[in-house]
Parts: sequence; C-alpha cells; structure tokens
Amino acid sequence: MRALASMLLFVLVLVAFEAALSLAPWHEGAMAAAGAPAVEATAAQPGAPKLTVADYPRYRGFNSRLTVWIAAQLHLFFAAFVLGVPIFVLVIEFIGWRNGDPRYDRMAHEFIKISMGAFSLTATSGGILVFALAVFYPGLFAYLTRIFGPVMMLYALLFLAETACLYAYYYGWDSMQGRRKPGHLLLGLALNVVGTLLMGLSNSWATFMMAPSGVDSQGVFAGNVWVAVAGPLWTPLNVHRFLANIAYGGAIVGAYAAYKFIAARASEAKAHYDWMGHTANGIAVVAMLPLPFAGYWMTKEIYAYSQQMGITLMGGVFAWLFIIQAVLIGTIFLAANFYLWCGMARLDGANRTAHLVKYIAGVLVICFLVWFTPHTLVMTARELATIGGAYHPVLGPLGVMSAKNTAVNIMILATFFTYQLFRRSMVHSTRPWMARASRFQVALYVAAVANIIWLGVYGYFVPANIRIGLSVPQVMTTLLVIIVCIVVDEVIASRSKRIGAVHWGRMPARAQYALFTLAVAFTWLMGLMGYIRSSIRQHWHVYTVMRDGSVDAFTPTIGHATAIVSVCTLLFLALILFVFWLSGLSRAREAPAGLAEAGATP
Amino acid sequence: MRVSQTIRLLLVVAVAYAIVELGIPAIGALMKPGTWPVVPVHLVRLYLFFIVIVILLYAAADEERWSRVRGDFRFFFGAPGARIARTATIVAISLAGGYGAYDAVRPRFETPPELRAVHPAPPSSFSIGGKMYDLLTLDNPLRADKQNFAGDVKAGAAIFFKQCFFCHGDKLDGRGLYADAFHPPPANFRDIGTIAQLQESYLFWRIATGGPGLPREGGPWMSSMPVWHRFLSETEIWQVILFLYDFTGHAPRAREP
Amino acid sequence: MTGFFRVATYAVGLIGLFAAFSHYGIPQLVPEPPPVEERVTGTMTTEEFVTVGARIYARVCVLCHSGLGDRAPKLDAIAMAWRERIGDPRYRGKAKNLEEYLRESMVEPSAYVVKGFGKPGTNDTESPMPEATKGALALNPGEIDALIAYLQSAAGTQVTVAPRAGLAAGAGRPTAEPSIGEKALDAVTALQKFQCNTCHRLPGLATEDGAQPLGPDLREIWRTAANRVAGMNARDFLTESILFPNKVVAKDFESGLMPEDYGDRMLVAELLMIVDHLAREH
Repeated sequence: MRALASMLLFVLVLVAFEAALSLAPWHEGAMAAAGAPAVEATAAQPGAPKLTVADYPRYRGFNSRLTVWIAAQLHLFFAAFVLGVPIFVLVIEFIGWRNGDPRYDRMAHEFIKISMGAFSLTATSGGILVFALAVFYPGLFAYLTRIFGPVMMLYALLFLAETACLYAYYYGWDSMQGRRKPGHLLLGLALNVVGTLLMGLSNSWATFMMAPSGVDSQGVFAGNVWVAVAGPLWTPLNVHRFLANIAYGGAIVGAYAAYKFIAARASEAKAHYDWMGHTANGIAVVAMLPLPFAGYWMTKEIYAYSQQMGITLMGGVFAWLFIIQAVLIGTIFLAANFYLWCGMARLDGANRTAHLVKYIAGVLVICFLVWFTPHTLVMTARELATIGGAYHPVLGPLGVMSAKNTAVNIMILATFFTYQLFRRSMVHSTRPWMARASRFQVALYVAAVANIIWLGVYGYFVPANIRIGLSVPQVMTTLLVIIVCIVVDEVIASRSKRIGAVHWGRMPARAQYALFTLAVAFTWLMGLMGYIRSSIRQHWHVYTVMRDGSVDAFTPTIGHATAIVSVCTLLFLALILFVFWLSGLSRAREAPAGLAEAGATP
Repeated sequence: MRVSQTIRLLLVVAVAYAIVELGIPAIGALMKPGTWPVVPVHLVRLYLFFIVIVILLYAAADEERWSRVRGDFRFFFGAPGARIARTATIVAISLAGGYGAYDAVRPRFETPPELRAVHPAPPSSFSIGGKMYDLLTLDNPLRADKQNFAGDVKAGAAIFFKQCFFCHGDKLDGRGLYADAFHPPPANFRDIGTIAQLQESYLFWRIATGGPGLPREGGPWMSSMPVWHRFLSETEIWQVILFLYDFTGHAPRAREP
Repeated sequence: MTGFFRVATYAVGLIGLFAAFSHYGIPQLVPEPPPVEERVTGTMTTEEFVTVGARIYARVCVLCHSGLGDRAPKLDAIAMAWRERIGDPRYRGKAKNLEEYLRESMVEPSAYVVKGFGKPGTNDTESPMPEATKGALALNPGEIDALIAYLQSAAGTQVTVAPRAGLAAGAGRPTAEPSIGEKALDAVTALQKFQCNTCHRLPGLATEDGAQPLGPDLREIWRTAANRVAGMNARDFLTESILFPNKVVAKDFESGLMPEDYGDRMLVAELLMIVDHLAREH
C-alpha cells in the first residue's frame, strides 16, 4: 500500500517537473508578448537575462525568497538523510554477512526502514522546491533549464532508478537472505551508486550558480553541458556533501535509537537501542572527522575561483557566521565525546582506562580554546592600552589558520582516541606482542601530535600559499594514525580473547540527550552552512553572470538568517518525528535476545 | 582527608580561571616586556563558559562521579549543618549577580568595545578618475621587471619614509610617531596576519582608496588611512607595495591557479 | 508521552539557544544592500559622488522623474535611448555622448523633448522642465556632475564624470539625513521653496511661465475652501489637502499626482504660513 502511494507520489513529482519545465518558457513567452523589455532582450541575445523587479511574480502572503529557501532547505535535509543512510546500511549489512551475525542484518534493516519513510518526504519537498522555483523565480528557472535541460532529464531518469533500487532493496530484504545475499548487497551498491550520481547532478546546479562554467561573461552558454556541470567547485562540494550526508544520516538514526531507548521498558529492547545508538554515534563521528578538511578544500577552491567571494565568505559580515559554526561544531564534538565517556559504563574492564578521560577532556578544552580565539580580538580601549596595541602577543598567533588546523587535528585525534579506548577495553591478552603493539600505538600518537604541532609552528614562517598547503600533511598525519590504529586494533581483537562483557543498555538516560544534541546541532549546522554557501553569491542568481533583480536580492542580517535556519530545523525535526512514528506503526520485530550480554564491536 | 568531588571540580575551574587571567598575561609580559597583555573580558567569558560546560560534562559522564557530585549538592542545599555556608553562598551569588548587573549598566568613560570584521571585503573592481581596476586580475606590474627591481624597491622606500612611516613606523611594525593617536591602530606589516595573507591587488585597493574606500558594510571602520591616489601615482603605489614586502621579508599571497 | 515532551522541549530549547546566540552573542551587522550597479561598488571617489547625485536626485528630480513615466520621461533606459534621440531629426543640441547629452538636457531642456512630454500646445518642441542651473533648482556645476554620475550609474553604464575640486560645494560631504533646508521666512518664499508654482497657480506669486495646470488654480481658493468638506473650516481643509493631498481631489484633476511627503519636508511654521496665505482674502 505504501509502495503504491509512494509510486503515485513520484509520478506526481515527475508531472510537476515536466509542468515546471514547460511552464518556464511559456512564462517567458507571455512576458515577451506583454512587451517587458528585460525578457525581450533575452530573446535577442542568448545570454543570461537582465531581470528587473517586474520579472518576479509576487503572490500575496508568500515571501518568494523565504518560500524557496525553506523548501530547498527541507529538501536538502531529507535528501542528505536519505542518501546518507544507505551508505552505512550497506556497510553494516556487508559486515553482518561476513561475520554471520544476524544482529547486524537486523540493525541495517531497521535503519533503512526509517530512511524509507523519509524517502517520500524527500520527493515531496523536492517537488515543492521545483514548483516554488518555477513560480517565484521563472527567469532563473528558465535560464538554468536552458543550460541544464539534458541533465535534468537524466536526473529524472536516475530518480526513477533510485526509487526502483530502494524499493527492491527494502522489500527484498527478507526474501534475499542466505544464498541470495550477494545479490541483495549488489542491489544496495547500485542504490548507492545511483544515489551518489543523483547528488552529483543536483550539486552541479548549485555550484554553477556559485561559480559558473561553460558560459561566457554575458551568460551565453557555449553548448557543452559537461563543462557547465563540472565547474570549479563541483568536486569539492560533492566530496563535502557525500561525507556530510553519512554523518548526518548517522546523527539522525542515532536520535531515533535514543528516542527508542528512552521509551523502551524491556532490558532487551534497551540493549538493542543502546547498541544502535552507539553504532550511529560512531558513524556520525567517523564521517565527521574528515569533514573539516573537505571544508577547507572547498574554501580553498572558492578562494582560487574568486578572491572576492573568498573574502566575502571569511572576512565580511559572514565572518561572524563562522563564530556560530565554531560553537555548533564545539557542541557536536562535546556531545559525541560525552556519549563516548558515558559509554565506558557499559564495560566491566573500563576501569583500566577511565582515568584517561580527564586528560582527554583537558586536551579537548585547550584545542577548543585555541579554535575559538578569533583573529581580531574584541577589546575595550582600556584593554587595548594594557595590551599595548591591537596585537596580543599570546593570543594573536592563535588566531591564524596554522593554529586552528593544529587544534582541529589534535581534537580529532583525541576524539578518536576515546573511541579506541572503548574498543580496546574489551580485549585482553597477556602475550608480550600485545604490549608492544600498544606501545607502538602510543608512540604513533606522540609522533603524530608532535608532527602536527611542528607543522603548525612551521606555518608561521612561510608564505600564505605554502602555509595553506601545510594543512595537507597535517590531515594526512591524522588520517594515518586513525587507519593504522584501526588495523592494529583489528589484528589484536582477532587474536586475543574478550574480557568481561559489554553490558549494552547500561547507559544513563542523560547520555541519550547527547545523541539528540548531535541530531539537532547537525541539522541546524547544515542549515547554517547551506545558507552561507548560498548567500555568498550575494545579489547574484548566477555569480557575475545573472543578477538577482528581485526585491529580495539583499543579504539578510545574521539574526534573520539564523531565525529561518531555526524554523527549517524545527520543521524538519517535526516531520522526521512523524516518520519515526510511522516506522513504529509497523511493529518492529522484537529486539533480539541475548544482546545484552554479547560483546559486539561494531 | 579526602576533598569532595565537587570541591575538586570547582578548584579546577578556579585554576583555569587563574591561568586565563594571570598565566596568559604573564607569558605575554615575558614575550613583550613592559606590557601586561590581559585576555579581553569578552574572550574570558567565552573561555570560562566553555571550561565550565566541559567540566560539567566530565562530572556527568561517570555514574559514580555524578552521584557523588549530586550528593554533595544535596548535602549543601539540604543538611542543617551546612546552613551558614549555604546562606553565605546564596548571599554571595546574589550580591555577585547584582554587582554584575550594576557593572554592566553603570556609565563609564570608556569607548565601547569594537566589533569589527576581520578583513573588509574588497570590491571586484573599482575606478579612479575613470580608469577601471579589476582586482581579480590585477597584478603588480613592477614585480615582473627584474632589472629595475632594486630601483623600484628603493623608490618605494623613499615614498614610505616620506609618507607612510609617521603612522606605520620605521620598522613597519605599526608603531609610528602618531600610532597611539589612532584607534584602530595602523597596520603592523611585520605581523604574519596582515600583508603576508593578502594579494598585492588588495594592498593596491586599500592604499589607493584609503579609509573612505572601505565598504559601508561592517563599518564604522574609522580608518584614518588617507586616499593615496590623490597624492601618489599608480607606479608609486606599486613601488611602495614592493618595498613593504621586500622589507618585511613576506611574500604576497600567490594567486591560486 | 512525558518522554516525548521532554525530548521535544530539549530540542526546541537547544534550537532556541543556537538562535539566541546568533541574535545576541554576535553583532547584528546590516549587510550592505546590493549595489545599484556592480561596476561602481566600493569606489571611494565614484561611489561617494554617485551617492551625492542620488541624494540630489531624490531631493530635486524625483518629483517629476518619479520612475513611473507619467509626469516626465523615465530615465532608467537613458543609456540606450540617448543614441536614438541625438539621431532624431527633432534634436537641436550638439551632444556626442551620454555625459554631454545629460548635461545638455539639464541646462537646456528643450534641446530634445521626448514625445508626449512637451508643453501643451507646442507640439513637443518646448520642454516643461525648468533649467536645472537656474530658478528654484539652481544646481551648481558640481551638483550637475554628481547628478550625471548618478544617472549614468543608475542606468548601468560607466560613470565618466569625476568630482572636480571646489565645484560641488556643500554636496561633497553629504549629511546623513536629507536636510529639510533653510526655513522660509514668509509664505511666498515657502511656496517657492516647495515649488508649488510648478503645478498650481498661486496668489501673490507670478505664475511660472507655461506651468502645466497639473493642479487646481489656488488663487481663489480662499472663497471656497471652507465649503469643500462639511464640518471642516478653510484652514483645516487646506492643511489636510497639503499633508494628505489625495483625500479630496478637485474635480477634473487626477488623484495621486501631488506628492504625499510634504508632511516630512515642511517645517510646521512653513505649513502654517502657507495655509494662512492661501486662506486669506486677496
């Protein structure tokens, strides 16, 4: 029944899409017939139209920009969630298939079930977005359609494929077990490939608007769609969104698990949802670790494309938005770490390592303080006098990128270290090589931190373009430590016996609020960063090519923008709660027994 | 005697506060003798807020620790024996809050703190006397001229010491004769955070159009920088820019490929 | 269910915290509005000059050149239109480019009259526009330059005029608030100051030659003012008609022509003087 409804909905969206495509030229024609000079000019020259206020239809009771903004943001929230979840579902299913543990399979199934409910909302919000764009911004829509027409058709086809894959993957889950499992996994792979392609195509529209390629300075399209798609910001945005989608999917299913954990009465159910929350938190954190680097890369490409856009992004009014971003990321890191610290309570053997938590907390605090320290200090005249100038000898050097990169890298290592402590607490071996391996890991951490700090300090003595390049070896160091430690841990885990037990479900309720914090902060942060990415175009629809001639071309104040972000977050959370509720209606299988005593390490 | 968990955590907060209020200025005083570089109160608040949150989370992360802390609180706010200490604490907190409110609103003879953005965003292009300069593609024409490089730098130095050094200082450190009269103070070119981070076209824009050329957005800038294109030719501005980089040893930010 | 409410409250509270920090934790700078034309942003000379021109335009020209194209031609397409106009056989000037055309149009408005905007009965050979450098407008050359800069900028072309030292006296450093101007000392100067005689015939004031009868003849208004609206005496009626001109519109005259901003631009003393003057028997 749901499948039928969703199919119907999809057909509706397709029809809407078609209608919107055909609507735009019609509108243009109507305007030309009415003698509007701006659109007449379009007919004469194939470049981007020069729009005036008259080219933007206005409807009483609707603010054009806010309507499109909220529709786009909600669509992005749902799309990110729906694209992110299948990625780790596939990985979890694969792990479950390899080690033959049915609990993984069930958890993966439960994850995809939540994502299923959100899928139709993704399509709906996408349809609303297309409608809103075509109705409120017909000129822009027509221009984008003229360039991306073939891509949009491909997009529609891929959407069909995505729907087919998702339904086959979800509804075929139970029947494709055992011998047919590889086929099911392949189906999941196809789902992810199609999903990633879909994301890439729609990203190209956003990046084209930021950094147009394939058109000349008047917006005349040279005819090669691929050049327009693969603009200078396309790849960085793809990578950034791919990672962020996984992290976001993890954060949302984590909130689902936390909610179920709080509501659960039976200890089996509690254990199941605790394990689920732990896994989701792990996914969110691991996917988030490389995110700052993807962000730096994206920023670097923006600077490379246009220094003016870069300075608008990092220097002007928008600089303050990055202070908010720092607070949000701080919240996320703290919530994730707090959850990991609380998770130590599940272990009998945790006492060996629990005392390290305070040092980790100390390192996190120091890194955060460095990270928060702004480049330009806000100070009163008296403070200015005592300091002896605007330049603070201690805090001043902490304000530049070298210090920030160093702090972020160490922070990430500290977070990963906590995670590793948890995994290592569960295994024990008296063999001498294990002690050597541990010593090797400690030495690796020390060397890595020393290298990161050295590179950071070295950054003060080299020119800016080389300094930016130094962040690459810093990141590589961090990633190397993470990968080597995971490999070594796997080797150790496979060759030693487990000690004690993991008491899944032995978790305080307040730890679940860390998971909610993660979901809320992630959603809000996504909204904020989406706003920044979109609004650094300022008064341009397509940067430097097509001006926004509407009354809404101005950049709103930070307070106004964040209020809209808050509204979007609230709307999304209300809708996703509805989805959670829906997926609870079709009675979940009873949580598998015996989990509470098992020592699963996802 | 074992000190209670809560008191130990409070001590940690106190130590952190001492480091921020005394430790950092002490280090600064060592680096720059004769000054006492306090941490601005705005930042102190941010730091402390964060430290307290982390300590609270640390306390709540372990069931045993958390119950000890809660036990301490329950004792402090419930036990008859702790009445004097309790009353004293409540009175002290109320008084501190009252003083804080008073301190925030009392009139004082101090300019309010500056909240300014870091770098003003340059326009993509600007014009002087009808000539357009496109900042996206503008390069220092003198940099390519290797033969006259030394001569250009020398000419730039002459201009700097005729025009700029009164404010920016003979060491280019922003400590010129008149530096103390300006708020914001003149830029310190030796600092890694100024010209080393910028392309030459940005410097050209700032020098040529001066304080009045800054975007209205993010203002008031209150920059005292004169409009140098009224006094210097285009070549002279480029010469000064060459000199600034040559003297400080910085390289301009490269235009990225 | 309490669990649900607790979680919901927590989520809303957290969002509120983020929003509150964004509102109160950081300064609420107002971003610069989109530039009139991208080519002239951020320049100190040109932009400031254009701003001065915009201020003069808002003060002097917008009364007729309101952008609606009803009282005077629209100027937004001037960057394209001037070529056609100087090529028109009716053109009597000698401008070679947009800057010269604009200057000429202000100093010598009849050099070219846009079709339909000429003085009635002259078959579009004479312009109703006053000479900008004379009479009530009396702009100085520097202000004319600034206006040209503004018009060029608003029309989206390159600004070709630069401020000349010593010309734009008083206009080079515009005040933040548009000034109400020096207080008129008597009713006739007040009427002149607000250019009432552009549209009305007035008592005690020589009618400007060929002024279009856009507004009613007010020389005899003192006879009828008290009887126009029941319950309103002459002074009340005149006051209302100046401050809210569209409440009662005289027969045969169009509504919406008279500006509604005199309440912001007049000093109370000036308003009283004008009302007294009009209500007095002549």
